[in-house]
Amino acid sequence: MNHRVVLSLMVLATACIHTFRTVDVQPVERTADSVSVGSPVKAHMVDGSTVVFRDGVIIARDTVWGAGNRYDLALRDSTAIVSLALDSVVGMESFRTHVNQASSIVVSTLSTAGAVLVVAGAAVLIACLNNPKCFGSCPTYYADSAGTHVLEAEGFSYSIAPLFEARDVDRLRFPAASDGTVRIEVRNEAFETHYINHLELLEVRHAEGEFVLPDEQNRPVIVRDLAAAAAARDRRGTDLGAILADPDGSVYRTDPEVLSRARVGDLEDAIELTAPVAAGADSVAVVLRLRNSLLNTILFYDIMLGDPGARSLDWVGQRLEEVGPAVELAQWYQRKMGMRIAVWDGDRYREVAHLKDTGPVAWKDVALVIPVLDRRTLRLRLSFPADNWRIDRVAIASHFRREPAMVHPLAAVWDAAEQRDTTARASLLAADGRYLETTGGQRFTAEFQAGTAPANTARTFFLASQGYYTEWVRRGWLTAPRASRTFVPSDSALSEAISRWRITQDTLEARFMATRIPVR
Amino acid sequence: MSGLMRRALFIPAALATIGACFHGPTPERFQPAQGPKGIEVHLALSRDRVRGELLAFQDTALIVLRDNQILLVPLGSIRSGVFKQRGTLIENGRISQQERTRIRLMSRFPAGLTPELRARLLTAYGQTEFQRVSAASGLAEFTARARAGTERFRDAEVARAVGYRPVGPDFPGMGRHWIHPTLILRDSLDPAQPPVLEYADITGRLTLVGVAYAALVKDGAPPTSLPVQASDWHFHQGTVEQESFLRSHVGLGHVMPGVEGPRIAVLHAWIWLDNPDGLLATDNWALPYARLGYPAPADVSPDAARALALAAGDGGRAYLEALMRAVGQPDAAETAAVAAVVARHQAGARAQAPNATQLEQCWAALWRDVQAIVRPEVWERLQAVQ
Repeated sequence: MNHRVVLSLMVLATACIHTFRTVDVQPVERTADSVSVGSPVKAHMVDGSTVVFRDGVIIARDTVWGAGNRYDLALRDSTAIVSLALDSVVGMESFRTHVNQASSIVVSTLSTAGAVLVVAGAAVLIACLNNPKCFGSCPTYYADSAGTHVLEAEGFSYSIAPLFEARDVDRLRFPAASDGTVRIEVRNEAFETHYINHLELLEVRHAEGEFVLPDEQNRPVIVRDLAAAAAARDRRGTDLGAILADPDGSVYRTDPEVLSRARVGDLEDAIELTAPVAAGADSVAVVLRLRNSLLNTILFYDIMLGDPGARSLDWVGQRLEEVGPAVELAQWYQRKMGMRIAVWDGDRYREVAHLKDTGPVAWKDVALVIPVLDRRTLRLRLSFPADNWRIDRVAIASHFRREPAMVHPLAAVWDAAEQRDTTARASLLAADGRYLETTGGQRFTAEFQAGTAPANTARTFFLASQGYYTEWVRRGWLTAPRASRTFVPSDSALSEAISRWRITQDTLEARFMATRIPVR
Repeated sequence: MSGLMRRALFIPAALATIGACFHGPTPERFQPAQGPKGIEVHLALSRDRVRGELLAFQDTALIVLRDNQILLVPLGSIRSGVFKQRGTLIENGRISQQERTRIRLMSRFPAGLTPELRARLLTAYGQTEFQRVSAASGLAEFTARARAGTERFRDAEVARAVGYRPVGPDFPGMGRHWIHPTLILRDSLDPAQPPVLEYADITGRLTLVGVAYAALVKDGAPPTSLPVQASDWHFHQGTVEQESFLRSHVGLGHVMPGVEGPRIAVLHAWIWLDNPDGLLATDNWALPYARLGYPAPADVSPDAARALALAAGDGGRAYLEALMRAVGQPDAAETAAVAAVVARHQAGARAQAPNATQLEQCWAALWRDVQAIVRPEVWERLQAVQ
């Protein structure tokens, strides 16, 4: 079926009048390849409608069976159903049925999500239906630069379940308006459901010539007198001095030879740097500009969610809701992923900091304050899974200080039609039990009032965001699972992710950014 | 070459080969040989850890200098003793005579402490007696370190700024758990950096009342790195909501029968609000009294405290209603009726506070009223948490 036909069907589906009939419950034929999902699941349909199965589903051959309610585009009318053709499904996600209703009200005032997805994202939908390697992993934040929206940051990447809810602090490059207004457009450009708990603007005032960056724990660090490392080499001994000296778009990526040799027991790449130390200095700030490669995306989507197919719905919906398995996965992830920073103490490298993964979409600037353990020279080692990062810059700041940030609460939320949405604002105002829920193609604008600052004062703004998201288990994963069990954290899994990433990276990088769902 | 001569040459050659393969510290790299200090020791006790310089090895105890304080560590209290560059030589209080002799020579005072030397040493470090390390002192040190590490978090905004965030409901006997996502993932436990802080609204102010430590365990055995008993820990295995309402903190078991897999061991320490049931008890039933500004009785009754928690504010009422909804699974009409009963008894509890006897009666009356308005199957489920 070509794209035009699919598009026509979708338009017809969104335009037609639904006639609802009584449904007859039939026994589901259980076959060897059927998968039973006990978690409540939500199916996102090609026609933009949504089907909720509160008691789970059975996926057998090309059909989804279960007692469900199908909601139309505007979520106004619903009808009971017992089966769905799998080829009418974009993706399915597990969702929470809250025990504690009082403190977990999910707010979704940005309605008609399905219609937004279908109309705005038709081309992307078609592209991603059977090849699920598409854009994803977090909300994206854009600044309005003279009418053009410019990507500023991405929030809480890889927070794939409620217990992984995370807070991110991202430096904003664009200044406030002359009256102190800061407007950030928050987009969901992926086949995901975002649960945004909290948005706030942070501000640090400082002198001209100083830079303010968040550290690995989101605390602001003010740095000045940045200098490139005296020497920087990768595992093969290649001189990286020129690549890492400036934030110029010339970026470090793991040498193909190192990547191809990565295997269980030796999955890491490393960069070693040296820098002179000012007399008497007991610590310095290491400034990094970096973003993740799509290795992490392969690990999360292909290996964790894609390979087990429908089984991932229970894994996310039940297993990762339990504190033990969630902490086990998170501990493994923290040990293996991100970046470890170690300092030479004259005898050996000692790990002094860990930078968690920041996401593959936007560049992130961070400053890590580390101790000087050998007073003669600073020797650093940055180690990470092979090809996990794109690193644009590494610089050393011998002068740094900390200042607390001023907090500007969310002043207003404007929906896509530029209508003020007070309910959405209320749900984003504090890190509490209320969430703003968005699905692919939705956007809203967060507005903050930072006021004016005294003359001769420089201001740096940060967007703090907290939340999590659930990835849709795409049709391609549902129909062709590769694994018969859910994800088990292990070196083998990471090795497999690296192997797949190595093979697909060229096509995946291009495809990833091209499959952002347009917002409207 | 005669056989004797060949043998004479072979033996030095073999010795030379053996010498070339020798591994271990040379005198130049062996710490006790390079200065006046005794060998560094790491001692794991049942409820404590001691790391310091070995001053003397007595017949039944080690004398150790830790942070400028001289400690006496009974040999029998040492689960394992590791000596730097020598390895583990003490296990379960036992050390071979040969190793004892060797290690004694590596202490700062290998000839032992004469009474005069002992007195001078104590004076030099400002002590009158050796500080005896025992379970009690381990717990005291643990508490001191926990207090020092969390003093600044008595301002909740400071805790929020460094990454703690509230998770789950406000428990009547615990307050609300604020969890630090990075600290809770660490492999090791540091008394000064608890991954969980407990806050409660006390007389209108968000107040730090305690801390908690958590560790991932797979075999059911709690961690041994803190100076507490194994029975001081409890386990969490289900979801946050299950643990909040269905199992934990309401008298039910924390571990689901038949369910395998990793679980979280949790230790509460009520370092900022005295707990009549003990520093490490899971619930602190003094908390409902504190919320309303009353002193807690020494023999606090949990039922009276639960009624008082209901009286304390809307948080107590919301928790009880959520608990009944989650466990009893009443229908909509029953839910509304239960809410009315709870509201009525909230007013009653406020009128009776803080009289323990009357609060207990109020709590019992509340459950009788609930029983009267729900179906038998709902009541059967609710009895588990009554």
